[in-house]
Amino acid sequence: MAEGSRLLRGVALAALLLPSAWAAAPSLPVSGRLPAGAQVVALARVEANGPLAVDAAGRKVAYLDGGLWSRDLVSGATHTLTPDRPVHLVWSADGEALAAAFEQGGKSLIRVFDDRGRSTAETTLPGRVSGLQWRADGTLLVLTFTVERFRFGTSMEQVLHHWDRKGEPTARRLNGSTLMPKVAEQLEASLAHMLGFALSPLQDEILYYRLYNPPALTPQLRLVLYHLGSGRERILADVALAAVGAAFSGAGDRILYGNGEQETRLLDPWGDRVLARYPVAGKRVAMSPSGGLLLLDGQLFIDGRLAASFPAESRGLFAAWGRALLVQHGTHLFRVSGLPDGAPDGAIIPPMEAEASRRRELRKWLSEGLITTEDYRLQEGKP
Amino acid sequence: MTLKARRTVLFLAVLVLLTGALSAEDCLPCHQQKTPAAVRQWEQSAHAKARVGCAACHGTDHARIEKGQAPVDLKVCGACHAKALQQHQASRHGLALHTGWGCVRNLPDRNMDECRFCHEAGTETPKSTVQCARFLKQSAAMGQVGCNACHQVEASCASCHSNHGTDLKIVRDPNVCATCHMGPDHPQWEMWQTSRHGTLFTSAPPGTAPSCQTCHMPKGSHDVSVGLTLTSGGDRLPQALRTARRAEMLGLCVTCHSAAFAKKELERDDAVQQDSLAIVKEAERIVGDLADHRLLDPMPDQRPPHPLRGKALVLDSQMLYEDTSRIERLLFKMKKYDFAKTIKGAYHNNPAYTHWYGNAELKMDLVDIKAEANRLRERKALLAGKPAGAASESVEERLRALKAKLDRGGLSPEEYQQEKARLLAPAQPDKRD
Repeated sequence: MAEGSRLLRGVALAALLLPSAWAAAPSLPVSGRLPAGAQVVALARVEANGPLAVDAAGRKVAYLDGGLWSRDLVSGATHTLTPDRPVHLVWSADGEALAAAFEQGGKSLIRVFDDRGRSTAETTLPGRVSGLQWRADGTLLVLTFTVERFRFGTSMEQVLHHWDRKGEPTARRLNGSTLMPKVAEQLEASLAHMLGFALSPLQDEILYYRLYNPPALTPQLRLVLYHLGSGRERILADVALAAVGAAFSGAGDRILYGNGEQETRLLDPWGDRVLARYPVAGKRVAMSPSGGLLLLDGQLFIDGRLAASFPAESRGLFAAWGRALLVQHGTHLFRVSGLPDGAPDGAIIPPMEAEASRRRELRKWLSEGLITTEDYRLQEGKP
Repeated sequence: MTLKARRTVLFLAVLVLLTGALSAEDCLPCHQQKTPAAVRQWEQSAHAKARVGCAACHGTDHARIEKGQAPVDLKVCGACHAKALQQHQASRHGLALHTGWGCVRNLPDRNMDECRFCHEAGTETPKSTVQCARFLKQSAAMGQVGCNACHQVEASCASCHSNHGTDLKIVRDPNVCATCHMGPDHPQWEMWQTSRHGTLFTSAPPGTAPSCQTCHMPKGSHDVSVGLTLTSGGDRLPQALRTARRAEMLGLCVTCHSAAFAKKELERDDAVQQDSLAIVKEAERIVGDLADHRLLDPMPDQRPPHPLRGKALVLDSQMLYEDTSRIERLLFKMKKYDFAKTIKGAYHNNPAYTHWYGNAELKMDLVDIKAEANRLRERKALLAGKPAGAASESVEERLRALKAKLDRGGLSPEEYQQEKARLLAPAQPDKRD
């Protein structure tokens, strides 16, 4: 009797609570229509401006919610990795390791976790981290910056570190620039998110931003394509400070960036061509591996056409392989699945190795001025 | 001379006349004690007879004179000796301080960036600073005694005339030329001295044979470039200028020889110059090719930067003999010493200099350069762990070499495009099989 009474009270309580819980379930506002078969699922509560990472296969995410968490999207298993608060996160290509960068005063701690949350390697770097990426060989590239104040101005230096997770990282200086004192003061807090970088799927080049602050002109970001082999670089564009998310396509043959004001461009910098223009500022951009899906300031373009819109301040992440799109809106993370992407589920988008090898070779020659963009196009078979 | 220059000369001349005669008496009492030789030479000079006193040339500001701030340079002399100044400045001596190689503006395919070594950008105004790579590599002391002591001839009449004497015997004696025109790079004085002209000048009655001045400063001209058809680096002047200069020289030769004989002799010497230049060009091609393939040891980007061109390969008139590779040092000797001896020996009619000191050394230099080139190529193969002589260059290395060759002017843009297209074309099966 007593047991039956307890059961009844439990059912009654559940009946009271369930509707309110259902009403509170987060939802991602969508205007327009998502393609047939597309679904939006709330995944986790996250910190609004915290780092996010999704692995290449789109099966694991890592995010900040008080501390650092990882979640397996297939099994639903969630692990807390550390109560510390990283500024950048990135999964290894196989999804077996997560690298996180933590600020420690003027230095940065880089720590690698395995999929069970155990720390397997760590190192300390001078300066603050503005981005980190895994290479296919299991080593890490970390971009740091340091800011030094003088009476006449502020000096900023960007350094790219290469760490094999065993020995001491090696460093190469990418850029040094002078900032107006006021500009430095205004931007210093946001530089860690402003000066990020992307690694080419071919592993041979990076896209990075540097601050460009000429006297009497509005400070801008300069988008630079830097060849890791030759050390040569090309300036692709000057963009507004708000535009901070250039991306490579999965095949590494296109670059997407917004100018932060009126336009987002899809570029073939090696062939010196603008492939497409979108009338969107492109402050936050993401591109699916095939390039068929673009998320530009919350607007979802499918094969070049606007299909639906999420809130403009939302940000998206495509998994490197497959079709998974994660969208963060406010303090919630959502998964948008079932989107058409022109590639089969789980397909590895990067080109076949022979083609990739030839393209790497051509890009190195192009970066060194040994061939022209016209030569490149001819060799690529795209005159 | 420009109008402004003429006005300056006129002003200085008037100043000299107004101040010159007045001041000598003021200086002499002290300087007879302190610099007696200078006073003695002046007292016997034409200047003294013409009442051109100390202040006419030195000015009246004793403090500046003592600090070396009132040099008696060619502008001071030119105030009165305008014609000599004009001739001097138009000649190779007039460029001595700046290049040591004569003006190169009319040479074919010249890198026009070189003008800035001597001239203010965009003008014909000479700079007052020396821009010679070999000078810039020296210590101040070495630059003074080893370079400026001769190259100051551009700015100082005293280089030949002495400071206070005006006796023309000094400057009519071939020995006055010997201070500079001797030694391994251009031994004209030794060549002349041991040539038929020189030996007869010493042994035969005066006037039998010519001195340096007879041919190079005829009738007292200060234009020492009269009759010269080559730059001092041994390149031919442009045709029009060469024709005019050759006519000038033949005009001098015929005062002793028949025109036909003189013409034939000079044409024979021209042939020696062309043959020798071909040997030098072959050596330059070898060194350029090695640099294109990054085989020099060390490469220009692995050694202290060239004072004027930084990390570039420099094989022209600004070539260095220090901080360079061994094969470039061999080329330097070939060009600067042995090529010069061969052609100058021929034009000065000196058999031993033309052949043994010049031509033989030149050809042996080429042997050495080829051997060194082979060593460097084999060294690369050894370092790469490949058998010597193996075709070891990748397409990338060949593209890089091609680009280096284009950058140093060894290929035209069209030739470069063709070669590059050939390298980038897919490999074709060999149809001979």
